[in-house]
Amino acid sequence: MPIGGKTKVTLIDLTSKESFDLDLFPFIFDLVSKFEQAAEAVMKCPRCVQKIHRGADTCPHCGFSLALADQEFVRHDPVVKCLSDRAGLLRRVERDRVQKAIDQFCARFPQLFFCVHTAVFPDPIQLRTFGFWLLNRGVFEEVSERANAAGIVLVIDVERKAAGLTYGYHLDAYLDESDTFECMSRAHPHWLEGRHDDGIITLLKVLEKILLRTSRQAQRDPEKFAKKVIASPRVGALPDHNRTDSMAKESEEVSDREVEP
Amino acid sequence: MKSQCLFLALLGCLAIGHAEEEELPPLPRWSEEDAARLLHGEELITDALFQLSPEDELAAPALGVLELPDLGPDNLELIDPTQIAEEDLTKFFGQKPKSYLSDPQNLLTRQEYRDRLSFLKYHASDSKVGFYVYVFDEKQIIPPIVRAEELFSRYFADDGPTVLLFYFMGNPKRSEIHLSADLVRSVGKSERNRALQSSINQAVVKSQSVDQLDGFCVQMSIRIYWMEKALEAGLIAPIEEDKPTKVVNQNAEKIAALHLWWMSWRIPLGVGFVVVLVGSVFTWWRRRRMTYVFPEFDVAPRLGGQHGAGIGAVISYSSARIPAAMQREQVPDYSRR
Repeated sequence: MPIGGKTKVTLIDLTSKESFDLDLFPFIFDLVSKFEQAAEAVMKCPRCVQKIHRGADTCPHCGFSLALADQEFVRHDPVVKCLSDRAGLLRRVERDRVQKAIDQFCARFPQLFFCVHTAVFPDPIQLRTFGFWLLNRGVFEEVSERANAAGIVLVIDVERKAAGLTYGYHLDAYLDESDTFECMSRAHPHWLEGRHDDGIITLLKVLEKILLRTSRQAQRDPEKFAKKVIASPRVGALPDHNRTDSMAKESEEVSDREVEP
Repeated sequence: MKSQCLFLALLGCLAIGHAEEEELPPLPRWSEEDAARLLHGEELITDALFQLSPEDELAAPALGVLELPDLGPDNLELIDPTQIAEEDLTKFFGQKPKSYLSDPQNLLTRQEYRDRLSFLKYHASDSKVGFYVYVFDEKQIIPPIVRAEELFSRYFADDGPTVLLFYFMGNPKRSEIHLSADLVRSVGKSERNRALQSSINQAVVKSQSVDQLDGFCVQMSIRIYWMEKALEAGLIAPIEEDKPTKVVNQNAEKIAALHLWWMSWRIPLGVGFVVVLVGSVFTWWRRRRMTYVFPEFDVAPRLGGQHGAGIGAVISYSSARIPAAMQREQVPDYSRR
């Protein structure tokens, strides 16, 4: 109960001289939820790792965009397999094991696919930007029928011994940075010992568990996940339902007047 | 005649005195110098007082010549404390006891024996039930060939109701009582056990083994009095089975009941087990083959990427000194330098 016992206020638009009631409770609740969404609607630039708004076309800090990535990786062949060991990191037996794990993952999640790409990058920044570029420009042979937006790309820099995980828009609602970190941290001890295949398989198992959980939750309550990816509100916009409620009431009043003799 | 006797006695005394004089060492003699010193009040202790006799001055025998005492017989036969000698067994069980107290091994002194026997005689004078006590040592074991039924039939068949007590001195808990057949009819096993137990309880409170026997016999005498009353009343005790047999029977019953239960439930249990097993395997197989889908949402493109933007975690495994936990927060490369 608000102070003074009032739950509604009347707002008057001076330009159109229209007035409408505003319920304070839903207004405040909606405002808070919008702020929360705005906080979530922040991502990191693949190049400078600075926080940028999800709606940004280019990074306001470093100016990075896909066009710049295209220039950077123009020499790379975009046609790749789900397991493309360009750096020769894995032995044949190890490749078979990893390929089997990837196939199982793809079978369990028919919308998604997983790709492992090993390479040597001259610049450490390229580990992040390459994942972004490959996901947008890559042609994945075995899973060409699946959208790149449903892909998860693991890029391993063999020279610097670093790995990065990138995922497409379809997984925006179901994965976040902490989930991917959990997967990578489980693989970390294997990679430290040079057992790259074990690390990748462990990563896949953890990722599978996380996605299984989120899939079940999403089936039960899809709206919860939809809220994570909806566009952020414009600043100054009033809650729609308040406006529609007041307008509906006005129309009811008008219709009542018309019915009265 | 008297004078002759006195003369002979005097001669005898002189002869003895002379002989003693020859055996003893010579007395020290006074010198004039000693006498002068004594007159001056000095103590007069001369070396002559401590002078050793020539025999004492002989050298002690060498150690090697010492003769050790005899070690005794080579084979010392030790009697097993659990065994009763054959001759004692014969005295115990080879004949009817000559008195109410049998102690052929003489474990009691004569006085102790008489005292206990007098009590048993007193009991016999007051009761129709004969009470015979066999006294054994603490650890002795009566051979299994000795059977109380045989003793009763052989020696006490004509004596009427009789109670035999096998008492072990110092260990009343090992005591056994055996009743003649007519008493057994009237006195049940539980009553017999109670009589034995109460007698043991009376005995164990005493410290001396003889007193324990006293306490035991007195209490047993009292219980025999009640047995006698039961016999006179013509009571017939219910037949009681031995406890071990009962336990065995109970176990057999349990096994039989379990077997019966198994026979009647084995099919439903087997079917249930198979169903659970098949269900588990099927569930596992179904879960393995199950596919998971995600609701798809429209997401506005970012940074010019049509399929994805942004990044997940990046981790370095170049050194074990930098654990994964330290790499949780991604920072720009310039700030890392």
